[in-house]
Amino acid sequence: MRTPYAPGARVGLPDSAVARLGENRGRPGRRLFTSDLSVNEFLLVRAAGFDPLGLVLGTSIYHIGFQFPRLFQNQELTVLTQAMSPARDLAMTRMEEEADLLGADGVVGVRLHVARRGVGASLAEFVAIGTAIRHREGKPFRAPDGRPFTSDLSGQDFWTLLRAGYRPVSLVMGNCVYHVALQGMAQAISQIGRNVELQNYTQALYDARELALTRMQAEAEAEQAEGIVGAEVRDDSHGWGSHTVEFFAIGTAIVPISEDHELPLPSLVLPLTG
Amino acid sequence: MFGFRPQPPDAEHLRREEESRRNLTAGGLPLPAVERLKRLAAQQGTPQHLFSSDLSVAELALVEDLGFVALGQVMGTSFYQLGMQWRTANWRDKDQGKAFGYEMEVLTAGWGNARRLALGRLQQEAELLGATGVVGVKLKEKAHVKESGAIEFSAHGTAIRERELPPLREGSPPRKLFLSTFSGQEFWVLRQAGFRPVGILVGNCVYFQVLSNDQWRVLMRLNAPNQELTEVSEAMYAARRLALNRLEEQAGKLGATGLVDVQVDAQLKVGQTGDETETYGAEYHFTLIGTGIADAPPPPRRAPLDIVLPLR
Repeated sequence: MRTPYAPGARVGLPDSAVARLGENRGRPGRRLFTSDLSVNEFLLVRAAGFDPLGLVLGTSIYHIGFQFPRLFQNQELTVLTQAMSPARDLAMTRMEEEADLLGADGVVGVRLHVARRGVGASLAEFVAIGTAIRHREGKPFRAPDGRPFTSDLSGQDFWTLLRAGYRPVSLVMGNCVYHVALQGMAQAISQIGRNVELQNYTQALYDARELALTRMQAEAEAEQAEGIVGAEVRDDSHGWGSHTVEFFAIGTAIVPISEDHELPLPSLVLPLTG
Repeated sequence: MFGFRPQPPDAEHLRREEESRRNLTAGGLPLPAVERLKRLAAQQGTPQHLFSSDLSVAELALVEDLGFVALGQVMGTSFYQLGMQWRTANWRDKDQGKAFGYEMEVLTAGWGNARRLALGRLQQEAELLGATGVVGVKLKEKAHVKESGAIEFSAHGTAIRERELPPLREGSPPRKLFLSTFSGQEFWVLRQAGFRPVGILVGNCVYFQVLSNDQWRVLMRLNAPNQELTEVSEAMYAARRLALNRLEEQAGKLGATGLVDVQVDAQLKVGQTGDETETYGAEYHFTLIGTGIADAPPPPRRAPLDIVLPLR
């Protein structure tokens, strides 16, 4: 679950980040923006009525504790789940605070990297990078609580979403680290050479997916969203071994900005490439 | 004695090698490259002229549509040996367990110089061809650290100039030119939107963070509870600040109003044993490479922005 957002808050943004954003804004004479949008994305974000303001970054290096699972039981490893979730929240919040400092309406093209480092891979590095943008005519685009919107949609998808009568509110996430039970010896022997379903695996994957998806949906409901687009569920063992896996659901929560959701009629083209 | 005898060194060959090396030391190009490019430049506007390019057919057509002609492929490369820099954390006892971070200036400068040399040589090759721009610049970097402590950086692209400009005459000053990472398509779209590229810009920073004893203990203890290592997080922001400011300073000097297509590369090494020196702490390599753009009047023919559904 995300921590509540207070506009103007600088929770955990180090001095060098605040100073750096001031340096960008304070350059005499001209406003210079830095953006990781491709040329086509840049064109579409501008065509949608927005100007890019700058590159924003949220990061958090987190020490992940240790939890020894009960080998023969399907269970959520709450210590690990609870480490990944606030670390992501910290990184996202810092990125949002940077966007707020720049006076942005939101951040598009957010990429979230997770990598494991250090002794025994006990460190998790969370990095969120995106381009802060602002509407040229000052239409409100922030989330209901004043939080700058975030979305992992590309510039192309952002343009299409607005044309279709929706706007992004927030990048919503849910996760669950789950331990899949080992099979007992007796069960393994009784199943040798037979076609059988490995029910503990099937069941564990369902449970873990459901928990992750439910948590993502709860975040979207807290943002009063109408739906989630581009949702995907990633699974990754992050080096915990073959019986422990993290399910991570991520998507962009959207709200309608108009009654009708009709696109202009697309032209049909037949590309003569390839 | 056995039928082969080493040829005595050719004095002319040695002289040319010596001159090439002098040029390289000054950040310039070796003689064979200079001579080939001058020959190509002299052929411009004559029936012998031939251009080579790594543009695709569509890219070539779009670049020509904007009123440019392709002049030839250009490249720049530099092999660079990174200097030695001690990591202060190797003497942890002396700094009494306090956290502090500092920029590893030798490594920052090393990576920066290698990139600057390679891009500078690319630009010189384009200047010799009388170009006013280079499109589709692809950058490649490789660390040969294990073998020789060396890094390699190279860049190649296609030199272009406006069709109505005359070929560069021998001895006239080089033209002002831009470098860009954009493909032919991106270049066309950017011009449509009312912008032009001004140059490829690089900002980098290698930053080292010595951890306090408290956070060091967390790092080394597998069963420490969940918590953030704030000092490492802060180090990334410090590295980002230095790298991004360098990038934007250069962009400002070139008269850019913005930077697009910026590639962000943030690499962290923490608590690991390095190949040569033991690293106790966190080391960030933060690199930003992008193309600066500035306002320019769009071409008279404007393509409408439309939605299409490809039937494929």
